[in-house]
Amino acid sequence: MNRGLLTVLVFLLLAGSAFAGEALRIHPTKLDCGVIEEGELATMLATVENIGTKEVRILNVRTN
Amino acid sequence: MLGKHTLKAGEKTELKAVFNTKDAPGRFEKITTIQTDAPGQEQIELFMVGTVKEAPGPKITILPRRIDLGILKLGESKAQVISATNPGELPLTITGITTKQGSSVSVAAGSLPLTVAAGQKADVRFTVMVGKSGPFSERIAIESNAKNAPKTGFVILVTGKAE
Repeated sequence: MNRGLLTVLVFLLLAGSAFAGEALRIHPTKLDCGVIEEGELATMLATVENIGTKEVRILNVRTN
Repeated sequence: MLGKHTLKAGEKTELKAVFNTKDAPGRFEKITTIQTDAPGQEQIELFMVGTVKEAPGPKITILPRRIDLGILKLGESKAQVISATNPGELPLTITGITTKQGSSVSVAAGSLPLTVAAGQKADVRFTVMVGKSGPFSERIAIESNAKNAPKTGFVILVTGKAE
């Protein structure tokens, strides 16, 4: 009885953490380029990682 | 620019955002918005901020910005003199004085191109002729290599009435 209850509790905990977690980890999300000379390119390079358990599709990327 | 648009579990890719700072001096904030099908992460925003230090260049200011020609006879020409100042750090070259197609006035510039050294000012001479009767308010574009003016030219206004 106790073992069955423990199994259910562990399952619920795992399921809860899976729902609470984010699938994509992006780093960095904010970059301060400081002062740059006019004409130079300001470049931001970010790593996008799928740390979830399911495939993730990136549908659109746009910049203002 | 994104390396991959579909990421399997454990996969990673790179996202590159580039901002061309030419003709964009001052503070900037570029926001890259990523839309995904991941629950809870349908929209993710990345921020790139900074300050662009203005490159040296020629600049233009014109006085007066508005010229009232008063009452003219149709087809009459009036000579005008405006003052062009270069508050920039490199020589300013004025290459043309134009009106847009369909304008009720036409202009004939004096000796151009005219070069104004950094920190100096010079007189710009041109003649305005009115081709339509009635009151008018038209734009004249002073074309130059100034950084602070649009590519179509620094605009001044001429007003008056042709009889």
